[in-house]
Amino acid sequence: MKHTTILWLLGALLASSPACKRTQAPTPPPTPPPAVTPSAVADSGPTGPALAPGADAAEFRDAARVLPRVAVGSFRQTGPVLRSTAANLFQFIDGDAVSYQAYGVRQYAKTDYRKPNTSLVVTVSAYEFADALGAWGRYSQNLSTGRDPASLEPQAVRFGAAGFQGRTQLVFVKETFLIQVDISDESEESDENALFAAAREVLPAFAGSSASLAPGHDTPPATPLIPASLVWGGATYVSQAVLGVDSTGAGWVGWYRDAQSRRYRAAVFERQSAAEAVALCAALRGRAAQTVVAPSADEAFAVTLATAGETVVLRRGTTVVAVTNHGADADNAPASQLSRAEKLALAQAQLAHTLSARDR
Amino acid sequence: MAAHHGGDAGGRQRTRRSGWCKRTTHRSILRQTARTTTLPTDPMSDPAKLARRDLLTRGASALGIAAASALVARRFYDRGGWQGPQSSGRREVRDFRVRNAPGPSDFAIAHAALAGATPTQLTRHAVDALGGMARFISRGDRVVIKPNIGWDRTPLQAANTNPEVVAAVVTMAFEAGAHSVIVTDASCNEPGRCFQRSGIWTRAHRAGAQVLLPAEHRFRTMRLRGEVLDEWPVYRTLIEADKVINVPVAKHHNLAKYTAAMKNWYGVLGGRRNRLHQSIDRSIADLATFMRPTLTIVDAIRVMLRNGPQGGNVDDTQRTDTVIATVDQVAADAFGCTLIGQRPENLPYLHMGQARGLGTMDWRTLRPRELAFDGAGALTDYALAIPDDTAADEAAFAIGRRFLTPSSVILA
Repeated sequence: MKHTTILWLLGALLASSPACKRTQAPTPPPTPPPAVTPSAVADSGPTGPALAPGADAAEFRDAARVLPRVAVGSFRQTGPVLRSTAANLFQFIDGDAVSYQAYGVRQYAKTDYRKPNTSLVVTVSAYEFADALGAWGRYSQNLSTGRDPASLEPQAVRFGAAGFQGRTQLVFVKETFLIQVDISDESEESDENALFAAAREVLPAFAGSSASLAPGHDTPPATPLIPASLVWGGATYVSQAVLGVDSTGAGWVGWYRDAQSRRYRAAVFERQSAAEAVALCAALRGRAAQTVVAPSADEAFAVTLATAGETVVLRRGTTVVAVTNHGADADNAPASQLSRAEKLALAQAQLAHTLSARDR
Repeated sequence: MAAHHGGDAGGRQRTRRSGWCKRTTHRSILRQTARTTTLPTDPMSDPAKLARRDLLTRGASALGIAAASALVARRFYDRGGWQGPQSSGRREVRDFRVRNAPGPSDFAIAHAALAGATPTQLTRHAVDALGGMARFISRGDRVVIKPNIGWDRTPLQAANTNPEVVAAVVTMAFEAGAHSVIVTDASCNEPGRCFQRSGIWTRAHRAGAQVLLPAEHRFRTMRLRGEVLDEWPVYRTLIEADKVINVPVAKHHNLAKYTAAMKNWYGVLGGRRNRLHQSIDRSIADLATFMRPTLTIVDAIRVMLRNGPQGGNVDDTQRTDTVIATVDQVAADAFGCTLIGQRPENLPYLHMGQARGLGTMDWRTLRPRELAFDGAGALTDYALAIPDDTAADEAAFAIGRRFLTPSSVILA
């Protein structure tokens, strides 16, 4: 019996040993799924490749409640509905999660829709934010990152409060929801022009469906920016590093075009206390600011920002206003830039507008 | 793993069969005894009672052994990366660089006018300019190729490495004599979808590579001992190789501004991704310290200019028809970032990488070569002639601008 016991013990130890486990060869991969090609579709009979079944109705909850159910046109919902909280967003969109969390994202959901007998896939993603300002801010980041929002005016669409449609993506914002509709072609022989043509037809249908499911009104959040002369998409709300300056916190940035077609930007910051506003001015001022005369302001100075060129900054109480060039100095022809005096005048007008709007 | 489980299960099955035989034998003895024996006077001489005692003793022993085995197995079982035991000891580094194998260049840029060359041609010429794949791969090597397969996006969306570039690298590795080539990545989105939609699964498979999906049991906790990343679950498949070729895609990243070579090692890691982004520049530098690839080949066939890393909108991408091949992952990113209009001095992780001795931001020191295809596919191969007084970032930016229209250059 003793020998048997020892043998059993040894056998059990060997079988459970991590060393044994680690020396195993990796599992061979599953056979790659056949690409959905026109020939594959043709071979698969009149109904084409079988679509994965759609998700249960109960899955369309939380942020997923704005995802179209069952079908839109000839596209049918297929596969699971992915849902995530803000804390878990990294698992779905990796580092992009930071840019959504900065605007107060609460929930995320997405799912796919496929058209039978084709390799076209539409994916609808919904981000629900804590408030309309957060949704608008993340939308406006999409508009203005690395480009002039006015360049997207030809792509404007009328869904929710604002939106635009590119060649394969439609984005719109409605109150607390930011919704993206993407189309892609999984075929190896995908025809880009055919995909773009399909997008023009399909994306608005999905956007319309989601817009009708999303709660709230089709109006953008209130902004302290002067509305006159704003370019299309020019009312942007930035969560941090406004005008490329670290430690500014959040603020509105308006993109403008004056009567002479000269471009400039105006930033407006509202702070809880005068001390916070003073600290913000210190961050903007840096080490080489020059004082300018502005009787209506508690602080007034001009500074050259690396990412925006010469900038005039005014503070009155808890409100800070900055007016600057359209881009960095290197990107602005001297003739198209505003003078310091013109920036000062615009900053004073913006400050007066913001204070009077707040008082109202 | 599967083989192991099979063996383990087989062992248990044999044990159970053995036990069942013994029990059967006891029962038959008991039945036989009951039929043939009457009123025994000495309990010790009673075969039935002896058998029962023996049965109880052996049963108790078996239970004890089973319990002890379970405790031992629970103590030592390798659960894989996510909940694995912490490793101990010195910093672990995986250095796959080839020593003493000089080539004509350590940094090559192959680019083409629109439709002037295929991704395969660009990849081949870039690697050939370094001296060819045989400079890096020896006969019999087990090669692992690490593209970016993080996203369930199609090639047109430029979130993953171009599948043709990956397939070209697989083919070149086999041509150089590789025994086996594995293509894998620890995807961010659902791996099956990423591998399939990226086109990499099919193309790499066709080229002869073994395409491996990440799985929990393939992760092992390792001691990186970086500034941010100390111990972390690491994808074993990517580090258990003779040679590792890093094949990232060049793209914008909302947090890191630009990512390609150094950030591609995020695909080596398991665990919770949110911790990786709390100090992204130092995390990237930590990972690049841990992983020193044999070769870096940056896919810039189509680059993502904004709204990275996941992208999705083809309007946020631009064809640049460029491939960079180099032995220096810092240099790869210092040049590559200019292709999306970014400047290397704006990327803190590059400065960190250079300070740690991982490579140089001054790619001019790597005897760079440029291979340019015109629209008709004619190739010009020349060493880049850069004046000594031109900074590396300015030179890169000037070269990068040639691939972009002025309106798409971003200076943020």
